[in-house]
Amino acid sequence: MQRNIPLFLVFILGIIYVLLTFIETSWSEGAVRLASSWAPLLSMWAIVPATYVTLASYGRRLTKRDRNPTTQKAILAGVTYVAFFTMLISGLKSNAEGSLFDWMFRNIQIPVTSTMFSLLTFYIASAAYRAFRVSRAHTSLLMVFAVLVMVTNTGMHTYIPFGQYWNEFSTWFLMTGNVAAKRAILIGVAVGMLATNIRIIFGIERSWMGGGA
Amino acid sequence: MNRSILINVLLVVVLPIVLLLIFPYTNQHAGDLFLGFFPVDKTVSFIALVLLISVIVKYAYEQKSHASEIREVIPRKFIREGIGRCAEMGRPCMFVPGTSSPSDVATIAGLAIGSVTIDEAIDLDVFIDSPQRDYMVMPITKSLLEERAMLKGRPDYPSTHSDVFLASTVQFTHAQLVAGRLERDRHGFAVFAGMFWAEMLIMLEAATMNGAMVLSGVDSVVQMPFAVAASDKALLGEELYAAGAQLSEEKRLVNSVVAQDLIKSLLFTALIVGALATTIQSFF
Amino acid sequence: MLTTTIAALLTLGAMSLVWKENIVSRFIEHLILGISLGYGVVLTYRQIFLRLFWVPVTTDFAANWILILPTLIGALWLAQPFQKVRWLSLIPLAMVLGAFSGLGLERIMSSYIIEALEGTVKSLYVAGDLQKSFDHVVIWLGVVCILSYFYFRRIHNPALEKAHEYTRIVGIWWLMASFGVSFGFTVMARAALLIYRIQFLTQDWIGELIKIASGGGM
Repeated sequence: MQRNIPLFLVFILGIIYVLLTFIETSWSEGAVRLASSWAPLLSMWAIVPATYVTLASYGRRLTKRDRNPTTQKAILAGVTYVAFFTMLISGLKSNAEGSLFDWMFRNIQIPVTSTMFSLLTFYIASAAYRAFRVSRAHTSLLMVFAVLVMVTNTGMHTYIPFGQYWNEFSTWFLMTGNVAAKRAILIGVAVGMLATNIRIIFGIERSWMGGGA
Repeated sequence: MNRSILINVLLVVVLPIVLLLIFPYTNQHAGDLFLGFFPVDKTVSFIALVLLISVIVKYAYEQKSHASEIREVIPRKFIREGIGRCAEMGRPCMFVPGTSSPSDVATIAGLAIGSVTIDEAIDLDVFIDSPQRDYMVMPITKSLLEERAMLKGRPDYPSTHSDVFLASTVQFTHAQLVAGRLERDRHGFAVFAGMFWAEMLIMLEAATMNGAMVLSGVDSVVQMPFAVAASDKALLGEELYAAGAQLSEEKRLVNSVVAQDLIKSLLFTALIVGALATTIQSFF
Repeated sequence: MLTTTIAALLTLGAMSLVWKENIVSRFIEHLILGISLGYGVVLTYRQIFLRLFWVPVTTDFAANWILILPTLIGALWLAQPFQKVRWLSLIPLAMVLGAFSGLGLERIMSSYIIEALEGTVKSLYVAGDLQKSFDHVVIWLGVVCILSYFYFRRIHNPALEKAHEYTRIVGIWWLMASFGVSFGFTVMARAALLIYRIQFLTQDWIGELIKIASGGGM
């Protein structure tokens, strides 16, 4: 019975909003705007239980009540706690430029995040290396084409035999073969998305509410 | 019998042709309103949607199961093997349902795959590690885990055998935490399914480098090459959406995958007939 | 200079993760987890609660009082940790999911499927332009073959089944080739990012340190 209330809401709102996209009047546009202005307010509270769960999980480490407790884990969990509350308290006070919140964000968070982003190159290289070594038929073809593009893009193709043809081929393939692949994938993805959306609206797909029939 | 063939022919052959014929007309009248509220240029998508919805709902609520009619997108055995690997080696299993909010449908598809993984993990007592990025997806995953555990008669399972938590709402911080955990705990099996951006490769590669068996599912065209290169099995695009439904082994979900294919046969007709017709037309 | 040094040390520490998980990267991981969690909560409070709810309601109550309703419904999320009343937290989620699922349908249909079909269903023969005709045929063939790869149903007609088998094979190989091309291009773009980060270490940090050491001043 209790589970029927959310299912009913999804169904009713889903149907209403499908129909609204096919109605062009001032009130239908207002209703669509309503959805986008309500959505953040409806979802913002979720951060409270979510953050609570993380703090509880690290709290267990801090008090050594986790799976295999060590002192190091407890100390590190302490670091997380201190960082969180420093950030929270200073941020609630002020987030203006020059505040502690802003300083920590700029000088701790940003360097680390941008480093992780830049490390992507290493991970790509390692993925590429393994793809070559494992040499499953599919991934080999993928890597051959990847190298082809990299070679022609850096201008190195002038040093290898038939380099000019490689270059022309990869440019041509980018304009035709790649466009075809992208379109076909998008059509497939769209059918999948539509079907999943419809399954959600009609209560066929229930993994979002914990699954079960 | 004859009636059903007739309906199929009408649906798969005649309807796409009709839609192809009215499409140019409706496109010319973009901006016009029919009866003062219905935008004329949306006629084709309206008809197509009504059809799609009715086909999916009809198939889903049919008595008969169509499970044997579709080939396996990914065998359930694959997930069982991955979880079995964790159990043998005494290592945890990693599950990340994408890094986007639930309003991205891929997240829901990822959760559907996750629920199968969780089912298998509970059977073999495998620890589930799930750092999340979205604060709405995290509670969903947690309740999913709790509900599945309850159904299996293991209400204590989530508190003793899982760590589902919000890692960070920042893209690369989340990736760093996932990579760090993968390096430290050396997970036996890692499932990454849902909507990902560039951070996906960091997680996939960290998992593979540390000896995990990796299953990935992405619907973003940009990330697909990396998913293929860095995981043992990659579910690409529509496979991601179909896999969750098919793996669940629930009749209604499996049947709706068949309906999805019916829609695709309609698209094939449109592609083939449309191209041929315009080619012939170009000669005159 | 102190802040740059901290940033540089953090950069090095985070980079060490690639080599091997170590105590420094572990420390950074826990530090950043705390900071970004706090950041997330503060951002949600300021950007959503204050900006979208509190300020509009307190400045113009008559026009915005309705916003109290979604905020109250959203507060049902707080029931999430309690098993008995957990279903209440599904109500705001159901509202968001329902509205967005509904709104998405038409957009996906028109901007993905119909647009892609429109671009592909073209005359395969362009009078007097052999190159263009060939390109059109290639694109069309590619779309049909790759889409057939995503066709999961078994076909009962043996001839069609055989044809489907072949188009599927062409489709997956085609897909891999095109992934290779995108892979190559992305690698080129990502390499630039790493170079920027190394430039930060060498120029902004070590370069400055050397300047200071050689008496260049701050």
